[in-house]
Amino acid sequence: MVTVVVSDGVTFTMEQDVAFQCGLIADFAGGGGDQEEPIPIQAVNSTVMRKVIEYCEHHRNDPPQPEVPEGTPLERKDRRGRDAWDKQFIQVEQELLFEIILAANYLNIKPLLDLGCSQVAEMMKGKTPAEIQQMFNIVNGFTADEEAQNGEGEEKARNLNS
Amino acid sequence: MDIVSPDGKLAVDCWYEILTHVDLPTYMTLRSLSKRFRDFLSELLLNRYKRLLRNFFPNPDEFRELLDKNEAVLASYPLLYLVDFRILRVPTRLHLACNQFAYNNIISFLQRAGYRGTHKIEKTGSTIIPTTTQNFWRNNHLIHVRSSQSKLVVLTSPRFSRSVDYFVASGSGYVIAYPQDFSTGPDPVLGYLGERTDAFSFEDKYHMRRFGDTKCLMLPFSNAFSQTVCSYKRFLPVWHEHYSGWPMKGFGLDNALDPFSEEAFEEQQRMFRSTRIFF
Repeated sequence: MVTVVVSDGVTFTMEQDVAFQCGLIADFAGGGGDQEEPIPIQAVNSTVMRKVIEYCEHHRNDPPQPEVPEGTPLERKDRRGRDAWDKQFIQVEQELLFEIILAANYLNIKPLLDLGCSQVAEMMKGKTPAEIQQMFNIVNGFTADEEAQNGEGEEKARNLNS
Repeated sequence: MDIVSPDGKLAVDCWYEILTHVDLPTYMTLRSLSKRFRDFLSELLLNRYKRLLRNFFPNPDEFRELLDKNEAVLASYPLLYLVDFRILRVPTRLHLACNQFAYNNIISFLQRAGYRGTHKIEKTGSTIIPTTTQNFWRNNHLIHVRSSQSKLVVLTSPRFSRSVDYFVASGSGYVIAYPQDFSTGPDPVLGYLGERTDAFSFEDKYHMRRFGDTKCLMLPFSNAFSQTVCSYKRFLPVWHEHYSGWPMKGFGLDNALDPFSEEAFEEQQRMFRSTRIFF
């Protein structure tokens, strides 16, 4: 068994095959046997950790993913197929989604990172810049000239789509 | 250079991962989202480029093998990649794919036409037509291509900061410059200008011009040969996806051919046969 303690002091105990899906925990544990001392995970809170563990438990029997070189076409990447469970799992509030992505990145869980990022991409798809700005709370910071050029760009983008 | 996350929430690595999932229209929307976002995307591309390039394009041996499959006969010197990142500033993977594709086909075409080069290929930034020169071109002035009698030069577009994502839709131009007579002289200068063709007023299949002391053959995108060279609607999307990992969605190009497929080869053969070449 592996025990971790997260940023808000909550302790989680999980089986090795669940815990070791997190690259960070596997590195901490050194691939060895049971850990006596809880592993500190300071960058993740208990809400997010529950989601992470839920994901890892569901995928505990998945075969290990082969390394996919950067630049490999998307359709050739084995993205562990977003099955119905994954789709349901990742349907969360945006704030939680971002936290899951950050946690997956921190804990080094590539399939979860991939799942979360694809969900963000999906959320941005077909949205206008204003909608995405609102989504990420972004201030544009363009000058009036740059805005005008952006307008041309958007027009061309629409043409590409038409 | 360190890259700062554009939204202050997600780490740069997360954004990079997200970008691998977005389609081209979304990517373009992101570029216009905010100055910080645009700078982020630009810096990300610049910083990632050397690594990306290694994955996007085959190494010279693989490239040679691919050309061999197309029955292209290459000279005995190694092929070099053609894009100078300092000059191009913000090239896209799309451009690189197109550039490589065009180059592949130009070489293939020349070899089939009987050209046997013996000189090394030039790849330095100095051989790339600078923006100012290209502006002259657009204004229909003659330009002086800095060619060398002993170098095979590949030119590419220097203008990418804004038209970067659009040029495929707006067309491309090609130039092949011959320092001397093709049949007896040294290697020609090959050029590829991924730019709009509205600056070109071609009426025939090809035009001859003289750039300084250099005799040039310029081939517009609408030319049959250029269609063979680029023919992006049929070939590029597959090529592009194959090497860039960036799917071209929304172009209505679902029936694109794999450029190295038998079907593509036959298509190119057919185009070659139907194209009138002056030399």
